Amino acid sequence: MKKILWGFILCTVCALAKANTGVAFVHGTGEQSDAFNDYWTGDFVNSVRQGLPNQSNFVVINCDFTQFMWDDRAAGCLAGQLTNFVNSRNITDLVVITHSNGGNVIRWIMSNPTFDSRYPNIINRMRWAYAIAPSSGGTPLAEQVIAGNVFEQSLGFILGFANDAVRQQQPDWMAFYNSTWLLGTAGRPALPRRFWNIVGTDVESSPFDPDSYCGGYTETLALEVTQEFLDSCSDGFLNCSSQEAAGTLWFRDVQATNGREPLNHNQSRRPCFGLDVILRNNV
Amino acid sequence: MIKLSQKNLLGLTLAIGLATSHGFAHAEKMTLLTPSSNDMTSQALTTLDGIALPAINKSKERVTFSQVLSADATINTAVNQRFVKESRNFQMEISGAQLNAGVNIPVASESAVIRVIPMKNSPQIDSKQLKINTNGRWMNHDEAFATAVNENQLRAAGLESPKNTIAVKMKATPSDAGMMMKSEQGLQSSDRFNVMVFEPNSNEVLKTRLNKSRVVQGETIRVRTRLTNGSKKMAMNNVSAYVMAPNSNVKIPVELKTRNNVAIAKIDTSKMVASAPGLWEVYISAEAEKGQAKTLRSAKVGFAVAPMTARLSGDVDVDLASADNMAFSFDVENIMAGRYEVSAVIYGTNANGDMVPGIMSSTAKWLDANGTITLDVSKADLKQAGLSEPLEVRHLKLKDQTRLSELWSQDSALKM
Repeated sequence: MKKILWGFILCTVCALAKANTGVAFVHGTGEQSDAFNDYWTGDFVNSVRQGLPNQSNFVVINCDFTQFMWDDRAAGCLAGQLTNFVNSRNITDLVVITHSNGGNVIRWIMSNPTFDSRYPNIINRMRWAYAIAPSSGGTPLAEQVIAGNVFEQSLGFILGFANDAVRQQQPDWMAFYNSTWLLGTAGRPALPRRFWNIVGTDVESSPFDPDSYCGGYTETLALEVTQEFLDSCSDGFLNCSSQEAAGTLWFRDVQATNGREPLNHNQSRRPCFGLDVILRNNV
Repeated sequence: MIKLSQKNLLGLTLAIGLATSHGFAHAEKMTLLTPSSNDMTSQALTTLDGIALPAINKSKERVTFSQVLSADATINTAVNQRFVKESRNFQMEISGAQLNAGVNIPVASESAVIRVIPMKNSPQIDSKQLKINTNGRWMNHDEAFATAVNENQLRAAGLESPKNTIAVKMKATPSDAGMMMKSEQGLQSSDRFNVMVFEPNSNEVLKTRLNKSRVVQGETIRVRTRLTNGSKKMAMNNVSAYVMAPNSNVKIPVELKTRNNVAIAKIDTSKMVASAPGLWEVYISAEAEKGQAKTLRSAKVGFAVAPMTARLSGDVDVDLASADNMAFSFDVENIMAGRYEVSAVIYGTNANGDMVPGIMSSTAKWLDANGTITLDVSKADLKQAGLSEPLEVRHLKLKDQTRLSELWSQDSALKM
């Protein structure tokens, strides 16, 4: 698979020799106002953009991804910021880097090009998406979050964190949207642009292993609880099967990271184990 | 050998060829093929006056898009239509009085995860003051639990949880009769807690299947649910179900009939109209007796009900005469103004004579009343994909982008 991607990259380099390349960083679930610092960290973004011919050609998206993917505050906001970016900088070769639920929001745009007159222009300028740990098939943890609120819902008070984005990422909900409104999963028409998956496969969370601290130390004790809901192959939040449910596998973490280290769900948006360099070399 | 520089000339040649061989001088009226039983269509529209439906997309601009598909793409519209949910979960609502006295939690397998969520104004449970009894012996925290974590720790690990939630992973092995849980922190009798149990190592599974995950309003969804232990069906002595609308807290009861240890329900969607986007959900709770013990399981499965705002009449104007494009104009009947999209995949015949996908085309526009939506398909794109006649229009869909619902899905729509 990697050979295929390298082939694509070589072809693209030839075909787009005069293209103006830009990179957009699209965050996951949450409402962001400073995703550069709060979601990705400046180290990650600044490292990746070094691979651009013009390092100023990047944008870090700040939208409200607590909403359903189609919501004007989610896909609409993303479309607005991408449109401003490609138009203002005359980007003709857009690489979109997403993390987690950000993959669903860009997939909404790619799957429903007629939903918004801004969408076709974005798709037409896209080279492809690098979807890091995308929640394409949802996660059992979302289901558990929602289930924990059923009683509260029935009593008429709904807690804020059981937001629509979490609701949407329940496995049965994603199965429905993947079969109707979203493209790129098995048996469905392909997306109009490639959606390359980078998959996190494990969580290493020993306090005695310094690698566990990259991207922030992951709560070991609670992982013993949450991992029970997930498959043996997961990044601590998403099963590998979910991350690979749509698009094309680029690589599983241990196939490409320094020291063959796995990337947990937090580490896959940070400069951990050379992920930033891999992306830098492929934008 | 085809050269790209001759694209326009070849497109014209293809157009003439298609027009001649099928007798399409200009435009010709066609009728959609008879839908199959797997298709989702509607025969007639009924009034929706006075019903508040979501209004998600009110854009008035006509937008079109086409993409060339890989010839080896396999498109299966039935994919994921019969979602099967397997649950090893159950939940109970218990009182402070019950926890003070000791309450049976019917866990039957090892390493169960138990979350205790205080309901309104009830205090957080102190896991250090919880005791577990299996086989007649009370165990304290360290003996009973492999792990105990709080709300903040759960959140840090990706499981957002209500305020003051605690979670424990069991170390103690439950007896056949489950286990007793008791708190020694002196809870108020009126305190209430939501206890959520997940048994990852249990063979006892509630399997729930919907025959369709999406319907047009008025259709019936069949629910089949059974409790199994390995490959054996368990006798359910109590099973119940209800449906909730998107973003609603109103429970709509569902009648279940049990036969041969399988509970079956028919969900009549004729009165199901939601004012919010999202899925409807059917909730199932099942209980089985096994000697002195019992098994509890609960599950929920989402499904979509599309309010019947529009339909395809079946009339299509097909125009193959243009040198550049083929145009398929679909007649849309609607009873509610909105933004509607028609999409389809144009199949063509490859050099081996196989019918393969060629171009996926979609058009959306605002319709105040009945109208047509036209798909324009580039002949040059079709030729570039190496496809020629005979052609077919497959995977025809009509979507309501204002209410976010799929109204029509037909696998095989036109053959030319």
